[in-house]
Amino acid sequence: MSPINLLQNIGLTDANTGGQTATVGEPTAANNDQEILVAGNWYATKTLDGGTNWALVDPFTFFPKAAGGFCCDQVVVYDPANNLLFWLLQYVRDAQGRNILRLAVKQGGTLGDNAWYWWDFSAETTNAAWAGEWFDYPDLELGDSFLYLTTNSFRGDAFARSVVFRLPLQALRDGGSLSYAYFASTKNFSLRCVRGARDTMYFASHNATNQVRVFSWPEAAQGPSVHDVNVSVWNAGRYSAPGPDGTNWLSRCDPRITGAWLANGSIGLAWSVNSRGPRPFPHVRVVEIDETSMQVTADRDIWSTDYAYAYPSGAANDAGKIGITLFRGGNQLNPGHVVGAYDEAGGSWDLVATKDGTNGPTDNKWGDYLTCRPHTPGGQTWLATGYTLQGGGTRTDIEPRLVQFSA
Amino acid sequence: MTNGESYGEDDALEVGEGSAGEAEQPAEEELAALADQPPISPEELDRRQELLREVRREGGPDLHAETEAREEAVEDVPDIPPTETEEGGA
Repeated sequence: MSPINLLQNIGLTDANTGGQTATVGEPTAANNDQEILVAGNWYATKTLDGGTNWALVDPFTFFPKAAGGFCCDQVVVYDPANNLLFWLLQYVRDAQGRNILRLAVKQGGTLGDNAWYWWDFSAETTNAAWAGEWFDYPDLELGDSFLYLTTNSFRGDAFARSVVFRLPLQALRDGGSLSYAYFASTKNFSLRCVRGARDTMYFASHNATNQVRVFSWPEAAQGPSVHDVNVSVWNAGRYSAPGPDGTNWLSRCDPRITGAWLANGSIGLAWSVNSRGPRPFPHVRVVEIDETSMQVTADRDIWSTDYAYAYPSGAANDAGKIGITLFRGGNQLNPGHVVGAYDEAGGSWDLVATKDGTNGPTDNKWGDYLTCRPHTPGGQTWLATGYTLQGGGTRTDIEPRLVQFSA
Repeated sequence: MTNGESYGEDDALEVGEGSAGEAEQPAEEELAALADQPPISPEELDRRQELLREVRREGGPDLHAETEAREEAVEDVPDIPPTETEEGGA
């Protein structure tokens, strides 16, 4: 019997999402006790009773229009220390190729009303030299005193830089003027902050297929320090794991770091890699890096001889145990959703499927990220998102999934 | 630049400060009124699905080219047994 216990395993319906689903699902979730906000492409939905009843919060119409209108990527986070709920939305580029990220905030315990306030972030208002760039693939993570907003910035289709905004939580709580610090790199793509940071934020990106660059940014410091950490070699390249219907759910997959956490003095990083040697399918590399020595202390890869694993996201619970959400699929399996936790004593991952898909995506489009966070309150269990295709291979067949699990 | 040092000499790295201005904080009724707009049409969502790129935009080091250039030592992976996934779910 699996040590992973699925306390809740909810498939969201078209009534919950307005049918506004995509095969590039990108589901995100945050909870404050019975209040849960779930968002993905291209919906948001909320429950006030722990998941029994849901109400669509349409991201296309809920907020006033900006740039070219609501686009896609969304991230939601609840900060129990400040009792704040954050909702980040990406907007479409306007005629000049510019877009915004909208960071909306509301007090915890008020999800039943419409009282949100927000700030908009654009490349050119961050730095005039970035005019003409646009933000993509945003994310949010919390530290003791700051909310960290990360994003890639492109000029047209060309990568320009990755940015980390450091936003004071007190100003976000007060709702007035918001000043911030930012860090940007034109070398390192898709900087990913750790989940579970306290007074130092760590974020990371690849230098090469045998080295990651880890930045450490103490909250009292003006800027971060750099640490280059060697890891065992892995493969990039175009990923492929066709399922029984021949569709390739990994056509969009790439090796950017999608999972990052901090627990027990160790920085965990997880990303999707290509097949290599005795591992016949794409899989997930997981490395643990000692926070002090900045050396790899463990490899905890997730792989199978029977199918691929991809798109990991993880977090430590309040006891320091690592929970994870990811997809599996290919060969005899359509893409399905998996959650689990790392068993330190056994030295392996305990994983359980929450739902197998009935199909792969007919247009081969899948991804780009999932979410796994400690459940609030308590922090001993995890809240995770996933999705599968049920009954067909198109966007209308997507069933987003919200899972609470323990280990 | 070496490990743990400041990146001040590295042109690729930049620290700055800025402001997002004052929060937009409309009355709750103003937001509620927006909900009267018609929802996006299924046809528009289908169009957006088609517009999704088949390959994501990437940047930074060319990890794909690096992989292609490396033919040797493909057996060199961490010695970790395959990961079992228990069947469960809904």
